[in-house]
Amino acid sequence: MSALAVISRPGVPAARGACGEGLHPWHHERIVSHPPDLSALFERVQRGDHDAFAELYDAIAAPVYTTVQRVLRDPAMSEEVTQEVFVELWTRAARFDRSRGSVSTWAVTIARRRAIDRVRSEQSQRNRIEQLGHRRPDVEAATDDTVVASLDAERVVRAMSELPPDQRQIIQLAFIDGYSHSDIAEQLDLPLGTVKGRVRGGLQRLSGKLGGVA
Amino acid sequence: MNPRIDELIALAALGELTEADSIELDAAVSADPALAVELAEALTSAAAVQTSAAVEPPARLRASVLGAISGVTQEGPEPTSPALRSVPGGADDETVSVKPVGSQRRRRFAPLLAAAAVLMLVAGGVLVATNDRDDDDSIAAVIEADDADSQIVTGSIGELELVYSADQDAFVLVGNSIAPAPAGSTYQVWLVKSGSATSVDTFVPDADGSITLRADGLDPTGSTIGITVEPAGGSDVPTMPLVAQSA
Repeated sequence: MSALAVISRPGVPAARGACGEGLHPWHHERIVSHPPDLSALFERVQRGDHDAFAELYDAIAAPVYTTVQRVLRDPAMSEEVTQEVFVELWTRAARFDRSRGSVSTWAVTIARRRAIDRVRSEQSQRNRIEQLGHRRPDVEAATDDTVVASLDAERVVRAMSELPPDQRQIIQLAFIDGYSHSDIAEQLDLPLGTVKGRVRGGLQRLSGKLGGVA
Repeated sequence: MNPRIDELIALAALGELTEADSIELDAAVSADPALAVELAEALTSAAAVQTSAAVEPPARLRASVLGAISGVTQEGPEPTSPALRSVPGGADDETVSVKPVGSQRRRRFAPLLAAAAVLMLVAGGVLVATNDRDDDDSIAAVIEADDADSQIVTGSIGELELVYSADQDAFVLVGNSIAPAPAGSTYQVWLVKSGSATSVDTFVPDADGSITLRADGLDPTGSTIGITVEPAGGSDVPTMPLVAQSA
């Protein structure tokens, strides 16, 4: 049985959103309408300012860690990869390209890539099945004190609810449940190209609803 | 829009671009500012979804991260400075023994192994770049060998681990998050013993900073492992300083 076959099991959190219902698993996050502008801070990081880097960590550790954990599940491994992400942010700060989005978007993109790389290399499909029953434990069990919203979560949930069901399902599986596109294709028995097309289409629609580049 | 570009943008958001994909996308974006906007919007939307209910990492991670970057040199936007060439040689020839560290050490290599997009296999001094499964296995054969011993090779470029197996008559060098070599340069690995430096191989980390290298027929026991920055193609003698060496 493939790992993702388990996703469609009733009662597994991933299945709720994937089926297009209950896309409101989080009622407890604080809403932050305007993510902080990190440009000035990051310019200091680019000049080798360690204090600025500490401030940057405080600002984006939660979104980076969350992104990694969505993919990896395992808390210890997520911490390790999160650290790798921040080391990369430090060493390659000069390569940040503002034309491709905000600092936090860049950080999250790196986090996603590193987490996917790690899951491919480390976790067997069997491990993922074993861990599926414990997925997103921190999110599920979170309290007001531990959950933060780096973007306007309500807007995201609303925008996702307005996606066509086929796109919403894929966006949910990819970016909330943390699956690679090949995992999704296998689970849903779809061609890889179809999955990528729905990711692209879904993100385009979300961009229109969320208002473009932060 | 070009379906291939759409595919590349989707893969970028998914964190699943191959190195070749990445180069292709960079070229396309550079040639078309509108594409840059499309890409930024896709990445931003993906990030918004992924972080819409963010959880804080454990508090201990902060100190760990800040400690990890202390002493780590930032790369420049376009690194161009060639290494200052100086007298080769025996400045770092102290004897360092290879310490056995047991199986838990070897387990750490599992993610590094498969993460390396391109494996560099050295056989008889001939460098072969490949990503074949067979070569992945050749790396694993050393790491998983019963007699595998490991040591850290660390410096300004990051931390690597060296695993030697006498049974396999080979060692491998594995690293993640290794700083890129300056433009026009390569890293070169040396075995330094009794004032004499033997070239092992040259390498350039991939886009992710990963490097995996196997060297056959060389025993690092009792030698210092040193890494230098050399002009592309490598040098006959090491150019100081060492950017990483065995601890």
